[in-house]
Order: sequence, then C-alpha cells, then structure tokens
Amino acid sequence: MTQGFYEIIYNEKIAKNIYKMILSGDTSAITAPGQFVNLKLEGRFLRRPISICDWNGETITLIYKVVGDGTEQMSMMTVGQMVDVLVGLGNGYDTFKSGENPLLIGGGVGVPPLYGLAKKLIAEGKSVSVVLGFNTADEVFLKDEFEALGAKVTVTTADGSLGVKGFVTDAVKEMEYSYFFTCGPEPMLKAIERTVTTGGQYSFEERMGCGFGACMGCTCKTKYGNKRICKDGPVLEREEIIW
Amino acid sequence: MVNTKVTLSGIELDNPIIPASGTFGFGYEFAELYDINCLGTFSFKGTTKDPRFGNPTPRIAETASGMLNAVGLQNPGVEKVISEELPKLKKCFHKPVMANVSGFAVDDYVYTVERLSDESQIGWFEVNISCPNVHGGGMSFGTTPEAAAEVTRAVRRVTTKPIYIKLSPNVADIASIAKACEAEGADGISLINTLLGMRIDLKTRKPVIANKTGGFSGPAIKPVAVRMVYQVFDAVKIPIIGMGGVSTAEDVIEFMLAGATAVQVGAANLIDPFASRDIINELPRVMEKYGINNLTDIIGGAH
Repeated sequence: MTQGFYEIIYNEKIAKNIYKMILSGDTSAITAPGQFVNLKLEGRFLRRPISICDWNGETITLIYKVVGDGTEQMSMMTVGQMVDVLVGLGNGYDTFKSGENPLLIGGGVGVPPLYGLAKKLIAEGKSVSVVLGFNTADEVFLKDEFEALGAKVTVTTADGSLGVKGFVTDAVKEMEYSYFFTCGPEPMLKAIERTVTTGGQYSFEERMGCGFGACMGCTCKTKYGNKRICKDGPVLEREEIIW
Repeated sequence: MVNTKVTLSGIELDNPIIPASGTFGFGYEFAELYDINCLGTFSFKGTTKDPRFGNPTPRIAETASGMLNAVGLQNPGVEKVISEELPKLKKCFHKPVMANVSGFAVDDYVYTVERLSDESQIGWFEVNISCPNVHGGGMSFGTTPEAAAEVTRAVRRVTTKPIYIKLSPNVADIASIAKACEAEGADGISLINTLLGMRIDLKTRKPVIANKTGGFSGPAIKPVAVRMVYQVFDAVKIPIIGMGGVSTAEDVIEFMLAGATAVQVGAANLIDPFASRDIINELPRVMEKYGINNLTDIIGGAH
C-alpha cells in the first residue's frame, strides 16, 4: 500500500449513474487485478473504497456508481484536481487456478475489476468468457472494451433491453468453463453459488473504516477463520466462504 | 531543541503520542508503512479472556467530522495474543507497549491482566471499562464509581505493572469515577472512550450499524474530551492519558494544557495511516511556535 496525491485526468459519465475516473500518479503498489483504492474526499471523514478497473505504469482507471453523497461528490470533481489516495489495497484475484477457459461474471458496478482481470488472463494465454449483468440497456458499460481485449462477451439485462433477458445466472448455466471469477451485489453472488459447477473466486463488498486492515470494521467469518474483507479479501475462494 | 519527552508511571516516552487501542491492531500493519518505533508507545487491540468475533457487519458509519464503530472487541483472545501477536510485535516494536484489556465480568479482567502480567514487552495496562459496543460488562463497569472501583481493586491485586483505567464519557460525573479508580490504586486514567451514537439510513429507515448503536469518535468529539480531561485533572493526582479526535500536533498541546500527560490518536490512524508519525514530526515545530521548550511544563497549564 502507498499513500499519495493523484491528479484527476479524466472524470466522465459513461452509463446511467456510472462514471469513469482516471488518476495519474504512482501505481507501483498495485499487484493484482481486483485490488482497490481508498479516496479521501474534501469534507468527508471516511475514505471511499473503489475497485481498480485498469492500470498501467502511470495511471489508474476507476469506474464507480453514484450511490450516495460521497460518490456524487466524486462525480463532480474536475480534471486537474488532486486527490489523496491509498493505493494497492486488498488481495485481488489470483489467476493461478483459472484453467484454460475461465469465466468472468460481473453484475453492475461489480463489472470494473473484472476488466483488469480479463486483461491479465488473456495476457497469460487463457480463453476468457465474460458475462455482464445489468438491469437495463442504458446501464451497460465496458462491453466493447472486453470485446476489444478478445474476450467472448455475453450481456444480460433484467428487462431484456439488451442481450439475454434475465440474470447472469441464466447465461452462466448454459456455459462451459474451467473456473470462475465474480464480483457484484451479494444477492447475485448467492445466486451464482447455486449455479456454478467449478471452483472460483468471489469479490465481496462491505462498509469499511480504514481499508487497510487496522479497524476490524469489515470482518467476516470463513471456514479458515475470521477475515478482513479489506485486507484478507475482498476476494475469497469459493471453498472457504460461509454463505 | 525542544524536549518532547514525558513520563508515564516511571517509564519515559520519547514523545506523548500513543495510537489508541482498536485503531492500530497489534502494530504490524503500520510497521509495513513506517518505523513504528518513532511512537511514544501504542495501545494494542482490546484483548479479552476468550477469542471474540465481535458484532455483525455493518460495523462502521460515517458522521460529520467523525465516525461510528461497533466492532465489538473482535480479538484472538489472550492466549493467542501471547503466543502469536506479541512475538510478531517484538520484531517491529522495541519499546514497552500498552496492553488494553477488556472483560464481561470482574474475573475476566483479572484473568486477562494476570495472564499478561509477566510479558516483558508490556509496560502498562489500560483497563477498558468503557466499551459501548458489547452487551453485558464493558461500559457498564465504567458508569458508576462503585463498579469502576471494583474492577480497579481486582486487577490491582494481580499485577505490579502500572494500571490505567480507560473511562467512558457516557456518564454524568466523570470526576467521581476517576477518583474512585485512584482510591483503589489505579496509576493513571485514560479518557475518553467513544460516545454512544447512532445513524439512521433514510432509504432503509433503519440504523446504519447492525448493532444499532456505535461508538462515536473523530474530531467532532474533541471538545467533549478536552472538557473531561480538564475536569478529571482537577479531581485526581495520577497522570491522565487524553484522547478524543486528536489529529494534529496542536490537538496534542490542547489536551496537555487541559491536563493530559500523554495523548492517544484514534480515528485519525484509520483515515491517514501515517497520522501518528506525522503528528510526532510536527510536534517540535508547533512547540516552538507556542514557545514551549519542555512538553512536561505545560501539563495542566490551562488550570
């Protein structure tokens, strides 16, 4: 983990309530896709944890949903503003067990960290399939970007306005895969648990105090003992999770 | 050169900055970020007789200039603290550490203090009779002079190490509780623990925190804490460790003027992991600004 001041070089709306922010600065603390950053916002006491969508040597891309006052404030920040960020938090996804044709399942604002993951898996020579679930067509984002990486993309929408009508599980149950990686709202994760047939990794969300393992604000029970979602997670292996 | 040294019950600290229990774990998360030997000391994660998972999540909520937490004393239990946490801590921290202990009955406190008493790494005990987030015990020992006295008397019998009793601000008369602890042989008083608070989510129309109530901390509570340190300083002769919303070197001076010999930094560590180190680095400059050569000279200076 590092702490630093990052310059906002991009911050635009890309879908309904969804924004993309690009930060410029030191990215050396990022070690795996699925990690997150924690942003300090002017006038807010707690930082805002946001998953890392993509990164390179100089920039970090975040895609976030406006869900409350903090993220609304983020959406109004402008290019050139500096922001205090803790970078490289959490364990991230481990691609070691992925097999040859892993499946990535993302729901809503759970989709962004899967982009960095797809990039890594494809660089490792894996054949990647992606299922992206949204409520309606106007919420869809990153579909073209995943396709540009060379992933096989299936979109589902709850109202059928784009792609398969229904939930991600309606698409997943028709597919074959060696392993899965997922991120999304907890009801979706629970539905996935009832659908999948292989090992996999789940990324969880929780209200956090610090984001780096000090406050014990986000602890959950696992088969291997207590884990802090922020430090020992947010990614947990399927076999250790107590649902 | 200004002198930042202070003494707590015969043990000299390089400076009065002490990360507060529950915001600093057992030190090693922070030792990955900076050399924690710059600290005066720190108070380790509240330890109980048995391991505790703590409360269900969400355990955290934001407030204006502060936060609520209802962690509920999650800790691995005293045996694992001795066998795992203290040896790990020894590798990264070479000063006496403050052992924060909690319980649900007087016997729990006695057991935990007695079990830890021979550990050479421990310089002081900080006996938490003020946790607002557990049911039965915890804060209930800190809300009457009689119960506070009972815990103090019991732990006094089982250790020769200095005992600081950590008091709750959720009381009508903090001075009488501090006096009761002093009368039973407490070596010092730590205050304040968090204020009992609540937040309600407008969308769900339910409390944000699963435990419903949580402990309120952060800069918002600092005036309450300064006032209580000031009142307790008038009531007792033993040293006071002041805390509540400390996030700058100026805050440290303010607490010391109110009567604190040392100062704990709590919620600030969670927002800025380097906060305690930065306050230590800032302290000499702020002392010079206010014409302070020896920090000990200003203790209780506002009285």
